[in-house]
Amino acid sequence: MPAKRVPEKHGADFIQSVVIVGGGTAGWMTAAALSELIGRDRLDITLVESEQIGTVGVGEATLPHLRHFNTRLGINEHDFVRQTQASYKLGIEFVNWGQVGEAYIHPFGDFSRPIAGIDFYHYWLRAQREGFEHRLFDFSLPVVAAKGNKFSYPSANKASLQSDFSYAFHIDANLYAAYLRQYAEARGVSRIEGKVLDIELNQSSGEAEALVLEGGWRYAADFFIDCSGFRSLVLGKVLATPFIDWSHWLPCDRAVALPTKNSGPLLPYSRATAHRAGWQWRIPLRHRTGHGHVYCSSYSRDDAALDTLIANVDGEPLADPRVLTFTAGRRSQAWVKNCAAIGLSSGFLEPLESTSIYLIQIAIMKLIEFFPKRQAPQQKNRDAFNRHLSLEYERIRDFLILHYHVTRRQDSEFWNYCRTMPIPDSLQERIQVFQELAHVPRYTNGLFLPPSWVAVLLGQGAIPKNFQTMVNIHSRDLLHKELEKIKQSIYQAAHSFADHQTVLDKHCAESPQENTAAQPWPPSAMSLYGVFS
Amino acid sequence: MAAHQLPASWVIVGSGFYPWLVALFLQKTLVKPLQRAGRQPIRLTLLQQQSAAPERVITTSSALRHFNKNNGLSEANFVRGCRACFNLGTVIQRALPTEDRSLSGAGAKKSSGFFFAEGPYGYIMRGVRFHHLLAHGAAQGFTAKLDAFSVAAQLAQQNRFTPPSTRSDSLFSSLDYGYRFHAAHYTEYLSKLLEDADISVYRSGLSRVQLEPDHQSIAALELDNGDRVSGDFFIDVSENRVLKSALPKSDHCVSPCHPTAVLQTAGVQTRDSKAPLKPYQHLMLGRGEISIASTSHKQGYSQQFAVAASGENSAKVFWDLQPWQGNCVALGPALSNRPPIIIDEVHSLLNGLHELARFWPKRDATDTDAVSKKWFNRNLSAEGEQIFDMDSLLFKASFAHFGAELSHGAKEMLALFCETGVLPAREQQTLAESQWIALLYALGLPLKFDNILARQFDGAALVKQLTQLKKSIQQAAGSAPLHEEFLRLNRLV
Repeated sequence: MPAKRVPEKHGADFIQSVVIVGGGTAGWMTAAALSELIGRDRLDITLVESEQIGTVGVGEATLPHLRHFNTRLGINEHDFVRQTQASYKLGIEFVNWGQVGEAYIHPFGDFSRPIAGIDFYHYWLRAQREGFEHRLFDFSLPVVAAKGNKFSYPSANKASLQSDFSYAFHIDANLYAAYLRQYAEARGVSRIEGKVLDIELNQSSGEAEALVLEGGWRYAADFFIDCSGFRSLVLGKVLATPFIDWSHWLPCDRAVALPTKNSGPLLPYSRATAHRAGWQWRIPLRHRTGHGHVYCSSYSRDDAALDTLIANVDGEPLADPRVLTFTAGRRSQAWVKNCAAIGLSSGFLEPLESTSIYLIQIAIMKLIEFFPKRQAPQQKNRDAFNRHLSLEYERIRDFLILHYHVTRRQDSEFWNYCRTMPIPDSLQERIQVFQELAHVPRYTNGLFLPPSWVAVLLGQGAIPKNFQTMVNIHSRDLLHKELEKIKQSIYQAAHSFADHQTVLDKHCAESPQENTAAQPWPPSAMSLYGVFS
Repeated sequence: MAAHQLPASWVIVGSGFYPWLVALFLQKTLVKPLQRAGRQPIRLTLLQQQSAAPERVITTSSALRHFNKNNGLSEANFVRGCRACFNLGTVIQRALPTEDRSLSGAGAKKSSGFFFAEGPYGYIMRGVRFHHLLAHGAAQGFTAKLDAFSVAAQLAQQNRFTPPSTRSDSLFSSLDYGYRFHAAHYTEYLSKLLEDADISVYRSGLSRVQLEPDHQSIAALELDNGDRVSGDFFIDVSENRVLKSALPKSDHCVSPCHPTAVLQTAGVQTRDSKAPLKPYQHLMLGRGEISIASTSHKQGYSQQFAVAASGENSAKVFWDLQPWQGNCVALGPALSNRPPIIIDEVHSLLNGLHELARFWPKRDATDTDAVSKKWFNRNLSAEGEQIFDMDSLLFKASFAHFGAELSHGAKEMLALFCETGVLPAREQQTLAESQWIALLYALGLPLKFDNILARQFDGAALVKQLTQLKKSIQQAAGSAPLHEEFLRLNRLV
């Protein structure tokens, strides 16, 4: 078949055609975003996928940033919740991480509010040293709401405690991909069913020119987006972009997934339960519960990992277990020549903190920000895009390693390895400054800010030696009384929320409406910790 | 950890307003709270080096306003006490180059001024940054400059002033501002404010810095008048780095931009009282010098920085990368020497003090203290790096014909921004993104970017929208009182 002809469009200096290799969450999120934000009159978008090749269906648990993505696309939130069998998510519960028998929730919100300009957790650190018995997590509205199985949208009144959190969703990723496929096709994206056999490169420039599909079909484009998942067909196989292996820091390399029927109330949080050689996820959706055991094959046999999973699911299985193998790491560059990788084709970090869809979203937004031009040097755009992506990956990597490394578990070789392994310098110094001063350095470019680091560090028992000096100035009684009052007000606020299931039923029953300024859901922000920040 | 682990005795050394501002900061953030809680007091000693009060007008960013507000200092009292007026920003003007349109300016003609302000320029529409929309508008023939969409700029151009509005839907809600005042008045104001505070004040020169036997820390100061001042922790805000230079390895200073030495000259004139008191300062770049012109109520002040070979009257541009050594920290003029442009001397000192408050020193040298020092030094160095990137751009615009070179960070920023309209991924600590963008616009760079998202906007409709927005901002600014009228009406003069 001759090369696809691209009609001349308005704004001819930007590239005019892209081919997305692979569907799934990454492929269809990319197609949907390009079709809406750039538009069919400026860009021909073709997505090639094969029904013979399954998708990983990453990211059933999401982060609040997905709301921002959906908002940019003008998606009606209630319709999205209904179509993707979504439930709300206020955080992730980590069970058995610091020590067997311990649990905490990493919430989408900070712990109470600063007092006299000092972060609240410093006051709690002092109080707990004086015998104050309540946990830091009792001072988080989303944690208290989650444990009470409550949910509400954050309040628009910034003075209210009820405005201090955000929320995300548990979704069926395959349904989300299907939903976005419909959305993208309605906006002019062409979907081609076919298996990619090869990618033709220009002999002199080394740039990709066309995809060759089974049956000899050939698709030319100005730019190629690799959403082929672990196979990394373009970046990995054809362009041979080196893979940076982080498995010495994140040694889990397998996962076995098993959906079950729902059992018990629908919880507004995910759960990550640490086992002897890995951890198990539990993600409650409206139509089923997702379970999976992520483990390290050097420390657990596959059959033992499956047994552990089956022994720890709380509903009747709905399908056969599915095994995935992976290596933690990323491609050294996510944009090479005229090809960019988005999603698993650019890197893999285990779903411990639900970051997969976030990484897809960031890559899409950065690609649009540095959108390539034809016949113009792309080096600066490429470098800037790659720099952003590597920062995101490396900072999430450090945060994930933190969960494994800051543990007191000594009950298995796996945990002994994780507890004692050398860690990246960037993480080592963050842990050190927290241990000495209870200080969490803040960065601008990166997902997890101090409230998240505090949640994991204190949740896993890393109590620092010191805290902010000035929290010492109040008397013990005064401080403890004040903390009691704050705790009470958080409890009352959380328990004024409705039951999670009731809220979902109400939202799903509402008919889709025009996306107007009078939406019932709150605004979205690119933040984990609030929607009005 | 208990509060008594803080150093019990703090000594501050410097001249002009610097040591007083440090004393006020410590008084508000350490001494008073400890007193209120009935804890062991902290003793402050201030050594005011004998020097003539600097004859100059200080122009501050909003950092001072926020510091005053957070510490319960009445703005009215401050403005009256310092005989201050308001400052909405800086008009940056460049000497236009004779031939090419590069950064360097040496021609006789001047560019029209660009107003550098703290608040936003326009607003994000449908996820698209305003400067991208403006560039798209420009491609359709729309000619307004970016600063036409700054409320602060429009107020300033009309010599008007109003404080920020608390109503979130008001155009004035995002407004921020600083002040201009005579340095000597500020010193006087601060010293009066601290009159009743229990601070030991010495007015003397320093004859010797006595080190501890290990030579790593300061034990005491011997003064010209024969007094001896000892302390647990020392803060050096002296222009000649008297404490810092007594410590070993105190030469960790860098000057990442070229030229590394500038000649500073200054002059004070009496302001023509008939001329309106402008709510902004003026900065001229090019022809081998940077000129700052500021006025306070009675005086006009002009300051020039010119390139010079190292010599008697030139000062090395530097930033100390290890400001905290032993039991001594260098802040303000002891931390860095650079022209007080955009990031002024008060802003810089307050930044350093806030950072110190994050890592308060401990009385005894411990691992914790070592970690505090490491992070304090790192954070201030990171700030310095950014400020030098900014200075590097200004120096290049002014001294290009004298071989000024851009710093690596500035080069990278320039290259990416001109091509894409996006700033590189870096930790923004000192300047907000909108300020970096404003600064790059002020330098009159050849901007070649064209954002694909901005093309969603129909050209004609966008031009109409931009025209309307510009008009609304102008009208809103026009409704504010004149700067001097505002001062009078509020009995601030």
